[in-house]
Amino acid sequence: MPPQVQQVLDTLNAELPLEGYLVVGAIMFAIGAWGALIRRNAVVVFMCVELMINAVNLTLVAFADYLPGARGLGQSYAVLVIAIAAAEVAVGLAIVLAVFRSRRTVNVDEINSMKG
Amino acid sequence: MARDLALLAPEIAVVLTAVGALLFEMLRLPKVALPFTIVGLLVATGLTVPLLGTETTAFSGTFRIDALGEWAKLVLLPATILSVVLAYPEVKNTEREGTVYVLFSLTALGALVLAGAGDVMFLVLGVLLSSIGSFALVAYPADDRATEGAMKFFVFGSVTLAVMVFGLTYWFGATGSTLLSDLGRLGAVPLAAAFGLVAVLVGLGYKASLVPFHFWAPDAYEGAPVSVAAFLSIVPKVGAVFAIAQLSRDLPAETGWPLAVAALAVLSMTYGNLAALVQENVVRLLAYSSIAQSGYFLLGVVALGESGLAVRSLVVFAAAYAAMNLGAFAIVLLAGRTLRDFAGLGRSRPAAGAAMVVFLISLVGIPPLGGFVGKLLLFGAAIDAGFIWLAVVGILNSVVSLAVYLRIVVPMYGQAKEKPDSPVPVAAVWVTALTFTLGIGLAAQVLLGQVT
Repeated sequence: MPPQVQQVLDTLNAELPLEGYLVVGAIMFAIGAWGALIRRNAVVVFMCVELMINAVNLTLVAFADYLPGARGLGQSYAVLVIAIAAAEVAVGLAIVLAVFRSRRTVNVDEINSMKG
Repeated sequence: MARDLALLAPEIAVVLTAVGALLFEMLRLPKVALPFTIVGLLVATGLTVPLLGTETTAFSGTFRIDALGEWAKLVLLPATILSVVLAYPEVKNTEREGTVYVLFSLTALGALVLAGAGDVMFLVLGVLLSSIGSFALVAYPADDRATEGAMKFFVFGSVTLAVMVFGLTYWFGATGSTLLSDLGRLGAVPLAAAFGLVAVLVGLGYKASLVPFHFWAPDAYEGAPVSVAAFLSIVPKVGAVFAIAQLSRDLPAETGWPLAVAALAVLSMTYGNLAALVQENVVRLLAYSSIAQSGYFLLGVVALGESGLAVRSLVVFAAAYAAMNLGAFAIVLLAGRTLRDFAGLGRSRPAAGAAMVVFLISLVGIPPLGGFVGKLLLFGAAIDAGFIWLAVVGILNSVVSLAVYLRIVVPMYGQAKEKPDSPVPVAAVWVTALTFTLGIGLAAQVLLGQVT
């Protein structure tokens, strides 16, 4: 095996530093937040919120791996967050359905009759 | 374990009440679900009384049984009962009447979890539990306005919850623990501390409808049934304010939390009162007024750790606020949602009109009513803690709020119109609320001796 290939393989196999996970998590969160702010379709907004929550989970398990003293706390926290995301989206989709039944649209700009 | 469960008896009673009422609803017996919910919540309130004065934690420090948590139960559970009674005339004989009572119980449980939180996971859980039920309650009428209010409430809520959980993750990473009592370690990591603080204030500020996280409140209140608006303006809000208090106690001062909370207080009081000045819809007016009232609450939070009055002031103001705000919403249910509906109420229904005047001047904070005692303590605590400027802003805002509430009072004594109906449950609620508003004001001395 040529040494250059071996070098690439070593880099890939080396343990990633915590910062790597945190940066990916932060980028995912930012993409989700950006989408939640600019997209007009309510269902897409929910998907963006899911992306934000999954960024939280990635960050949590990364921290949990990095903090050996926390004894599985990070993982159980992540499980709690997953359950929260599921519960939230269940109610959210029910609300979107109710909105669609009464207005025939899920565009958040059009669902704005109350002001003041 | 058995000891921990005994300490959680009130919460367990609330859960059992909700589950029992849900069973009756499944058996198509909503007429049983209503009294069952009321009795169950009364039992839960009763179970709290023996816990008074206990200062301990349950489940390895994750849940706190302290003055804030106990008094939250004693204030919020009766407020929930009154909201349930108020909801009855609005939802009776609708298709899923019983689920409304169940959702009230479960949402109140979320607020109790928030008020006693000793762990960031409980904060997240409390926000979620008190939100999910609220979304469904707002959307219950399923018409255009209700679903629109619920939609705005939900979209805003899910984004702020995600922000809050994300920030709290960094607290966990920095301290290696999720316990609030370990937050003292944050002093060494200012960046993570600041990031988490902003995030948690976004999440809890949303629940407490603090400016600038309040946008959902007027729309959700307007779309929801009046009883649900009354409930949302009291129970989840007080729960979230108490959660901010639980958190602030353990945060080191170098994170700058007192200044951040003080800034939110100024924004909420000022914006809430100014926006209320231009509302034509009484529900929206009360929504903005309740945003301003959350600002007053924060005066007590800012004083935590610096003033012995802080916890006392929070509890007394919470009790007074619950009574007067519920009373005001009950009269709205009786009279109607617009300012025009209030024309002549003082003449056509003199008793209800007089009660409304009492609730409104109590919201301003005029002696000898409950709102006055609560505000006096809050301002006293803030001054005690060295936040004199904040107390001055609070007092100025109280003056402005007089103009807000006079906008409702003035037409009430104008030309009389037809006499509105007064259903018995609504009358029962405002009479109870009136008793407490007057009682808290008059019995302030006795009450002050007991809250420590």
